Amino acid sequence: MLTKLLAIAWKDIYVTFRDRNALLYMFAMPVALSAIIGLAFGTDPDVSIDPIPVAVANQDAGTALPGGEQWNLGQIYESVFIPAEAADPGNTAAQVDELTDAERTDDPAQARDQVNDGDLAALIQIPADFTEQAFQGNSAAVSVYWDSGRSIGPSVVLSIVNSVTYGANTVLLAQQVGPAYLTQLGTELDQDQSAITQATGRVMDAAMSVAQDTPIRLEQVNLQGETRAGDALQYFAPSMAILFMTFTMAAGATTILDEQNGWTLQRIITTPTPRWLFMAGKLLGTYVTGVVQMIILVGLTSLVAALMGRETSVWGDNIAGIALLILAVSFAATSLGLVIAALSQTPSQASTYSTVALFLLGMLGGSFIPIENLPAALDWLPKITLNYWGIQGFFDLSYENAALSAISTNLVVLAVMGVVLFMISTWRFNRRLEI
Amino acid sequence: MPTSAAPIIEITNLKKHFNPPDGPLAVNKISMAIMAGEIFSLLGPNGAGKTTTINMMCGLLTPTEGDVIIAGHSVIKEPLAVKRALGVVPQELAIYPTLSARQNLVFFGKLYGLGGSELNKRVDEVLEFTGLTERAKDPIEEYSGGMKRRVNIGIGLLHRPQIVFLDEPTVAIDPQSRRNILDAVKELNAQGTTILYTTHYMEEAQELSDRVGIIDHGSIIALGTQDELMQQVGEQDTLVFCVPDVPDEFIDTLGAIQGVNKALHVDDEIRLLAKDGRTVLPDAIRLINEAGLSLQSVEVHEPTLEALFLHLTGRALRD
Ligand SMILES: Nc1ncnc2c1ncn2[C@@H]1O[C@H](COP(=O)(O)OP(=O)(O)OP(=O)(O)O)[C@@H](O)[C@H]1O
Ligand SMILES: [Mg+2]
Repeated sequence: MLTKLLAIAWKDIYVTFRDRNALLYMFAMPVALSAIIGLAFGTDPDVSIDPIPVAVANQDAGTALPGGEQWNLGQIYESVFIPAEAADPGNTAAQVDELTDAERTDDPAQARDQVNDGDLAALIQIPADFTEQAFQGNSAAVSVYWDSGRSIGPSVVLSIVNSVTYGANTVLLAQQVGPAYLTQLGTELDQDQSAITQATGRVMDAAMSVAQDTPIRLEQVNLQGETRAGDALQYFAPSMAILFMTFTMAAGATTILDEQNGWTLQRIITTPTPRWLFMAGKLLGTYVTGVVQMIILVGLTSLVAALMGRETSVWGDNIAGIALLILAVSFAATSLGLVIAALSQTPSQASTYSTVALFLLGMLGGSFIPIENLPAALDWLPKITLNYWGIQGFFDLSYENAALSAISTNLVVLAVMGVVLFMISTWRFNRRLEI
Repeated sequence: MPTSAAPIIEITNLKKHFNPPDGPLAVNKISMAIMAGEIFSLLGPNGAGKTTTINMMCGLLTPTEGDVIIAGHSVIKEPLAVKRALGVVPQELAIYPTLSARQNLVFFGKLYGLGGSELNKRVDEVLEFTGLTERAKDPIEEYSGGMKRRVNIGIGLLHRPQIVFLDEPTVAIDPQSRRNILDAVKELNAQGTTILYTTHYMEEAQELSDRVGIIDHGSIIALGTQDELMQQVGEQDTLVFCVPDVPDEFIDTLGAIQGVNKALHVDDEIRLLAKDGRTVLPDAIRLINEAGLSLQSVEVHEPTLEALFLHLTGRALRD
């Protein structure tokens, strides 16, 4: 039984990998396209990322320093995301402004709904007693609500907020250490209280400007991550690989129709081989071909990226994650191919159907253009495609450096797609394999 | 031809109605037996139901009614047991064109349950038997039509089946390849293999068969040894006149000649069935000349299966 299964599977794998035309489609095309798109988009973050829609709800009432000066730390967060009119083009706020499309809001509840609906990537909320608590040395928290459905936006926002918090902590440190130290110094120097207050103010100003300058430097805001995201290869290498792999899977499944046309299927059935074993062999052969194609494409695109002088890893280094995702996405694609073949009457019809269907699914799933900012009403659309779940998974692994658990949803969705589509195809084929 | 009286295949009330109720009734309640060790030919014109019958016998098609017992197993209830006893050579070239002959044989050999050294030995033997040893490593797509046919046949012989079905194995090939194939079939039979051979060439059926079943429109219209069948026609000769542009009414004129039992018009040929061809011949030639038609050739055939078919159906075997 196993010998027969492997004979059927191996025959298909052998025939596919000996077919020069097939190899062209399987490897040369996706690698070339990834490279071309990769070159076109380059590593310029402006090209790859639309401004991230963010809302800032700064409810901070601020607090008065002993010297009577008003302080509002929430203002720092706000000003980073929403710069003053005449922001110096070179400064950080201006750079953050290019990345984000931030709005001030007084209604955090409504903004949170917008995040839930996918209209906003994130909401930054600063509570009313923020500065007061912080200045008293209590812990004060900035809340960031983000849309987990997005891959890039929230991480950018989070890293900006983190940097600002780092800056704010500097201010607090200055506030806590500065006056005490100056007071002591003042005593020693016999200075009057107003001079101390003045000095304190100056330290605070300095700290404040450090705080505002710190996130301004890109390294510190971890905008280098953005440069990574900008390496279009991290997105387009998986998307092209998956797209062309789905074509291989459809072609593999279509060989069932070819074999029916060429009578080799009938001949196999005249041997002591049950029909289901034939189907299982076909499934296995096609699946293994898809998995091997993906593995080779991972290798080839990494090589090409290196030749192009790209420094970031195209697929990331989570080997287990990459492997599992390859297994899952190939499985879903094999089943999809079987459904297309089962719905077609002839091999040429199957090839027409698959060209149309797979390009369409590829487009919806983001194989050609990232689908970060789809209108909320169409949010679900990409999610019906295996391309989407595969691309997002690989992108999370490479760009986000995601752990295995972070792509578990992708794995489960792809596996479920595979099972459901496989059931549809066997149901259809059962009605057709009677010759 | 070591024929024994024991039936190895028993067909009972076998019927296939495609897409009922309006589809074709391809096989209409056939019942017959094939004896162990014989060559049985199923002779019939295009669309007679030969392939449909064979497909039901090897488990490819589910019969609408009836059953076939092969080597003691019902094809409906124990298809796998039946398939183990059978070697099937389909009418189509059921081979993988990009693989070599050897690769095709090894692949199907595995599906027939062969493996290891046994498989290699059988593949070598079949390559030898079909005369393909030298070209064994070339892809099939580089083969001639006759060589492809031989691979197609060889695959069905791999597991040394008791019974081999050959469905029109000589269609569309050159005379030399046909000769090879007919000789191979005889040799196979001499080794003890029971053979079911379908064809629409009466010469082949005549040369090969111990017994012949004549099938037309899904029914067996005659069955027996060649002698038995010839007796059905009686001692009739067939006269074949090659005459272009014959008006249909003229056929009736010829049919009215004393001693002519049947007159038929096929393309440019007029065929007459007559008890004694030689006495009818002068009258026929005279009538053709009088009608101003140009007679290009005349042949007189001894009784043949072709004549039997004509006799039974009023039609020629090949149209
Ligand atoms: N799958 C099918 N569906 C519908 N009708 C069919 C099918 N297969 C065969 N037929 C019909 O059944 C009849 C018998 O066909 P079959 O192929 O058995 O004839 P045959 O004797 O093998 O002819 P040939 O000498 O041309 O091979 C024909 O009328 C054919 O059109
Ligand atoms: Mg036929």
